[in-house]
Amino acid sequence: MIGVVGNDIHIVANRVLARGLRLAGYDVCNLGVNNPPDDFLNAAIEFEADAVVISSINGEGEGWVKGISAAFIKSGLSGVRLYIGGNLTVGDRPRDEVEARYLGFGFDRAYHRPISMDILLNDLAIDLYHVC
Amino acid sequence: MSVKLNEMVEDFSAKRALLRIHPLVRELPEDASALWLVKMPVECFAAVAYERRKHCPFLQPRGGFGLWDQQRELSLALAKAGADFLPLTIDSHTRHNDYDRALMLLRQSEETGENLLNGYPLLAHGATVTRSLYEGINIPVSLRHGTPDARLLVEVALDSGITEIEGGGLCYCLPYSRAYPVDRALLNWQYVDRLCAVLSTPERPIHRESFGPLTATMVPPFMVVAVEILELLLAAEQGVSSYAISFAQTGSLTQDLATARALRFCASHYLECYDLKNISVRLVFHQWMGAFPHERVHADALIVQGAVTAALAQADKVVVKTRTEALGIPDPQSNADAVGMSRYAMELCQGGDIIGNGSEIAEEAESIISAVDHLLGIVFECGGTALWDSVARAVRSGLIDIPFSPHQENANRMWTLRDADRSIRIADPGFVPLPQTFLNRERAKLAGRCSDKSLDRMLDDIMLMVRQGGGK
Repeated sequence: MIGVVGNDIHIVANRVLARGLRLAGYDVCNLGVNNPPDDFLNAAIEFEADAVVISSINGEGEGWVKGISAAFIKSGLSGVRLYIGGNLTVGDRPRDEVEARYLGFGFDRAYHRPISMDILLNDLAIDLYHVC
Repeated sequence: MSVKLNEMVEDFSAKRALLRIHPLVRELPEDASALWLVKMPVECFAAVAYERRKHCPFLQPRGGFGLWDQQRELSLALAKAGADFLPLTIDSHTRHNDYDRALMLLRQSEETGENLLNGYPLLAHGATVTRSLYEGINIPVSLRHGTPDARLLVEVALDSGITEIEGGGLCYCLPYSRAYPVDRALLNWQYVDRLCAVLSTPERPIHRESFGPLTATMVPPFMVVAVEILELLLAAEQGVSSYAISFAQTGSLTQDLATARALRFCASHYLECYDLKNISVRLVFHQWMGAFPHERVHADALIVQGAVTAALAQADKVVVKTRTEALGIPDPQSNADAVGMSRYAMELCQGGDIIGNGSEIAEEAESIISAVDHLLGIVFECGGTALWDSVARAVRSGLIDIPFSPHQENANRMWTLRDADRSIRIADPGFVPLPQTFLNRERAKLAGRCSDKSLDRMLDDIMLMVRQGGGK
């Protein structure tokens, strides 16, 4: 399941990601843009998602997703893999620092300004199918 | 051709009073903006500045910070760097009318010193504080946002002495919102247009500007021109007297110059058709709005190429990008450098209409105009009580269809691809009505690549400026 979190309307990468994941053989539920965190949780339950890939492009992701991992665990979805990617901070900060902060929020993987979708596709294959 | 231009019959002042009951706005009375605007120097008015422009297009950087101090510092730096217009870019929460969240995050940012907003929360700061941002800076300020319901935001902007208001019912809804009803957005912007008209005086007109880049992703020029003309007519019928149509660099020099030609031609043609003569129209060019190269040399070259294109198109204003575009919100120094680079490049391009009459550009412009005339003719026949209503119906029926719009009312059926010269062409028009000769020409330009819907092709087209020059 994929979608853009918060008051964030950046759609282009979301459409590309949906297409890329479908072409890679995944069954994709795309929530599109402007989603409050609760929508991811509700849709993950309904869709029986194996992985939830959240995007945030406008730099305001932190305020929205801090508690999302805890909410997933509380709803019994601790087995669902959580990913976040995009432009994860306002201004220019070191990638490692930014990604570490999101891993601290309970995400399985975080990608600050990823260069290619292939990184996510590789990680998904490893995390979901133990393919190296 | 028939179109019913709307006359607003309700008492506008009663409408305003009702809106201004909002707790974040009522610090100032309804006549605050008129009283403040009349005291401002005339050179702070965009419309007056345009009258006085010499040969070089005006330059406007981008930028908005959450905290007052940062915005003040940015404004001073940009003015010092030679910007002709200052931007005031609004944060995403205010854009979505989530004023409470914007206020909460502003307080949090003020306490921690860490900026949690991606723009200036105008309502949270209020008009009195915002007026003081521009003390001693006598150049026009432009409100940049992306708000389907900007009625309160524009009330406060005008209270603050901001004289240029960007946006429109289509251009600030279809690219910026998922679910805000298009018909309501058009009516909200009718309010904004009327407000700007009501607060204009002959010496101090409030300037309106449309946002032609739309999603800035594979939008064909004829659709940009059609949207710009519809919003121009909607503003003119509300009494707006100073207006700018705009578009963004497409990635094809031919198509950029042809779009400028087509916009100018169609604007004067349609205003004349509907006898809307009391409005002056400017042309604004946005430097490349798509994914920006990370490498400094590529980013700088792209900025300069945009400046050259704007000079050749004889634009009235250029909205510049910075070399740090790919890295987030630009700092004052990269903005100042972008202004300097662009001005230098444009000054090197003087010499009148050098290539604007080239046969390839003229042919492309003719083709764009033929598509615009065909589409608008059908939009005007969509029925409804007024032009805004016809436009809303045209969106719902897919006649107006913006590629990569996140909006649920947008059809998303039109499919575009770049041809060998990088011009944006129609591979599949979806429900958009287009003349057969236009479609035949588009398909001929694509030379059999019409059906290529692969991911790689899509990324090549979108990421044109990133994948160019070894960036792939």
